[in-house]
Amino acid sequence: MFQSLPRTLAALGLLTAVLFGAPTARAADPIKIGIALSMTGNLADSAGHYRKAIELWRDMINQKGGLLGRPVELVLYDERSDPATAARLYERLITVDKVDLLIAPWGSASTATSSAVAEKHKRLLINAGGASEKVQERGFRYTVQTAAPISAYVEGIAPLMAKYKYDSMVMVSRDFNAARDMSAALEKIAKEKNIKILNSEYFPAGSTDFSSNIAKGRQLGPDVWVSLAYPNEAIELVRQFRATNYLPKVFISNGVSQEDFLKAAGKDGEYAIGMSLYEPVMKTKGNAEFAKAFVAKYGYEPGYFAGFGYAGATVLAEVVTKTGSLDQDKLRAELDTYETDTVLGHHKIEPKTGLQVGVKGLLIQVRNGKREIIWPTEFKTIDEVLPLPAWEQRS
Amino acid sequence: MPVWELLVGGILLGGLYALMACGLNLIFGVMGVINFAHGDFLAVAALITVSLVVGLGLPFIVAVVVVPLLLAAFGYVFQAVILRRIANGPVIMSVLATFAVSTIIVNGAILVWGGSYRGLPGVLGGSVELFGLHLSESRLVAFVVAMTGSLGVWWFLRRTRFGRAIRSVAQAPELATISGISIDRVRNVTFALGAGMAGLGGVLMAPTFAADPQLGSRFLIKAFAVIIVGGMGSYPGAMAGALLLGVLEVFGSYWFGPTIGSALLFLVMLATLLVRPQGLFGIGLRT
Amino acid sequence: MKAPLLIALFALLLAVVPLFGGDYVLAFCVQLLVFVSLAYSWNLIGGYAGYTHFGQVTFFGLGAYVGALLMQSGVHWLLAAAAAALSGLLVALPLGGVMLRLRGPFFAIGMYGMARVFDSLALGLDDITQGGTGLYLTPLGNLYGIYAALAVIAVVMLIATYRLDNSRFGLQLLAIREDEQAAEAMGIRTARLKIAAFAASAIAPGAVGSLYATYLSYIDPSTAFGSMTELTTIAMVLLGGLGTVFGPLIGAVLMSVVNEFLWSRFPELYLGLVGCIILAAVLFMPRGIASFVVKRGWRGLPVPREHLRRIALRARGAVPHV
Repeated sequence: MFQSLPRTLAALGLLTAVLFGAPTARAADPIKIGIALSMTGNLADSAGHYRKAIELWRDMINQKGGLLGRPVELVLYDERSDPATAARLYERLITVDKVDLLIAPWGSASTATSSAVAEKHKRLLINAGGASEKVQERGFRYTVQTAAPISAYVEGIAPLMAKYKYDSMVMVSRDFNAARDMSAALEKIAKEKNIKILNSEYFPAGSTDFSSNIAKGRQLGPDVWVSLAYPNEAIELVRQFRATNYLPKVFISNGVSQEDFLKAAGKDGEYAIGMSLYEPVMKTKGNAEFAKAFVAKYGYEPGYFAGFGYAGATVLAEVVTKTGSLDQDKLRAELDTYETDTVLGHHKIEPKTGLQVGVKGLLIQVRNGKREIIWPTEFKTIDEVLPLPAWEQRS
Repeated sequence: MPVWELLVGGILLGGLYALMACGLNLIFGVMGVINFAHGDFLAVAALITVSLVVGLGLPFIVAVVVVPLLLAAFGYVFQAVILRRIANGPVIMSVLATFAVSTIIVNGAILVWGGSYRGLPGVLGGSVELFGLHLSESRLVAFVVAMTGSLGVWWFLRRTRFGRAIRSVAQAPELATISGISIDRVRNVTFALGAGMAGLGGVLMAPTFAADPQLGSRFLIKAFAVIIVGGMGSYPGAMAGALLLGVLEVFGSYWFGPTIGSALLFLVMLATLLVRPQGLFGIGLRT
Repeated sequence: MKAPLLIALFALLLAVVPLFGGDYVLAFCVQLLVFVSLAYSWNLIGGYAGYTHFGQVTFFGLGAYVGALLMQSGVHWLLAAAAAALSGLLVALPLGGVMLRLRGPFFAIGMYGMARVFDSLALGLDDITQGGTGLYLTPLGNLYGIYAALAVIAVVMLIATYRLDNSRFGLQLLAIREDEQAAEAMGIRTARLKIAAFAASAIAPGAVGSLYATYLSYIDPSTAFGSMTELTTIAMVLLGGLGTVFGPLIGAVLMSVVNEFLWSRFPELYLGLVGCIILAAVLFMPRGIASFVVKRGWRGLPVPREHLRRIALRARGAVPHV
């Protein structure tokens, strides 16, 4: 029996080498940027846009001669929308693949676990896809947010309501961490502005039926219906509004601001209002170039999921170029005060928490199958139509 | 409280649940196979429908005919090539096999359709007014098809020669063999029929839900709950069970919020299992 | 090879991994050990007693939340894990009493429903659990402590299963699996034994759930009650060999390694590839790898219930030299 032992151990050793062995270094010696994001699981759809933008960014920067004169290479893994897998893959990116720089996964839950890993290794993590404030408030020095903060999502709602003298709303949102943060922010605003919140409910991820929420909405008759949700839920909401002939005066959801919504909701999605953080028509720095290249490569217009990815990579590249270094502490120190403009608008962080404070929010309205900016005025591309025209008045 | 609106909403939701359960009731209820890929059958059918109608510009009715046939063919092959080999093993093996097929289908669907959400704008999207209530066109159609489909299968199982063969294979395979029934053939056709009905369900759900490759898992447990509440293999039971669950979910969500509302479905399923395992109406084929 | 030797070898391997492996290897092993413990626990009720089910994640998630809440109020993580184990046991006792009246697919799906009910509670009781926000914990500085705790649990579960396999209790459970009515008729107190096995199978998941929360320093309902955790565990046990001593270990190691290998190399295809591997295993090794290997006469794996077989053979006067 002991005869087979050496062989077994040798096989095990070989297996370990195959699995965990670092890939051999190449002659060109690229700068490696590691990201684990969902390619499968319930966030795969939204993370897909984020990934595409980052891949596009890599192509664009390599065309211009790379970063610090070296080509950029992405090391991408699928974290299966699972925060535990995300944590493990960041360990791998840091210790096995020995990547030079890190960008965070898509979604607040996976960002929460991977930021703990990055902190342990004292590695800078660009939080480009997690909105939740709680992630930043844990006091991790090395996690820096380039994604829009929670406040940016909801800041357009009160001005819009004031303009039309609307004073009541319901909130029907998917139960996940960023949505809970957004509801809290909105509740605070509502209190200040004297807006009545008639009802606030959360539905579990995977809900597809909104009959009871609609019945309650019809009964309460709010001016504004806010849903912090993903595109599929926004699509199903407007379709079920239409199918039951219900309509609030305003329907606002961040799920509206994505290509999927425009395509899948079709005419039913007209006039819906989306909270957005980025639009391809915005005249922000580098945006014309990015939006054009994105459409050319992928055949649809980028939404804010994509904008987040591109902006995160941009900020990272800029501080690397400015410091001329890949030293994590130098980069982090530079980020304390570093301000710049990206496709999302202004980038600025609060030095202590790494929380993003520069990026501002937008409101868009779907018009003729396109997203048009209605707020703030400096970016406006169209005058909004409110209240939403009744279903029977639409062609 | 808008009782009537909630009630009608619940009944129409129940219609969708009945539709989800229709095919599974043959596969799980009658044949006893726990088919983990059932939800994915529905999702793929919905996605194919979107591709046919939006992508190729074909009329919706073409999808109604073509997609169930495609799914039935797939189901036939699935049963004949894979499940047949493990039919005599423990039940848990069919769970593992269908789970494996489910992951393969999901992965394949992601490769074909990408991860994005797709819909059928303009198909059955409107509403019908009835006694001052507005009913969803697509759900009304789904409801009618689910009810007539269920009754049709029920009649088929009870009254036709092949239907009786299916029941005899499910209940006493040895005796069925002795009576000259080809077990393999009956099982293949039953599974194909079940998959085809799942296909029809998927087609009719495409106008209601935003479809994506991972949609299936959201429907799977609901379909199982409907069958358990209604009684294994009982079509009238499943219809009634689906309506009951739909109505309870809508009222539950209204009173206690959506989280508890959707949990009610599982609580009712558990209560049924513990108190009345033969199903609420006690007319299951396999108890 | 004798079973105790294999177990010692496994324990030794676990002891040396942290000396040589880096952080990633350790993180991989943490995940692996979580699944080893879950697989052995599920094997108790699913493999030995024959009550397969889809609801073990109930106790895993419960443990994660109990542990995380305790840690948030300042309890040491090891103590929290112990409390979480206890919570698993305390919940499983009454739950088993009620649920084990069900059989076959009804028990299997019923337990799945139970897991969903607990999942909904984690979302719904948001005053305590923060709902979908999840609970944030202070991360530990390194993984060694968690790794050691998980390694101990995994080895204990392995030894317990080995002891069970050769014990009266184990045989009684097997009798229930083969024919519950006959077992009852032979005087086996089936109800009590089933509940005992079910409750025992809930202890480790509770502790492991809490350690998982410690490891991630974050827990939310979809991570705590994930269906994939459940299905992966079951696939591991079935792949390795249901109701065997080494099956769950083999299945867990093999699937974790294959998974890790595939998803780093073929991120777009790995889900389907894992499906193909499981399917191939179902078709060609329906009783699992452990049984397959034993049947082929490969001597590396101990024969199940070796000790009992030897006693039986001795009674017939034929003691082989082992």
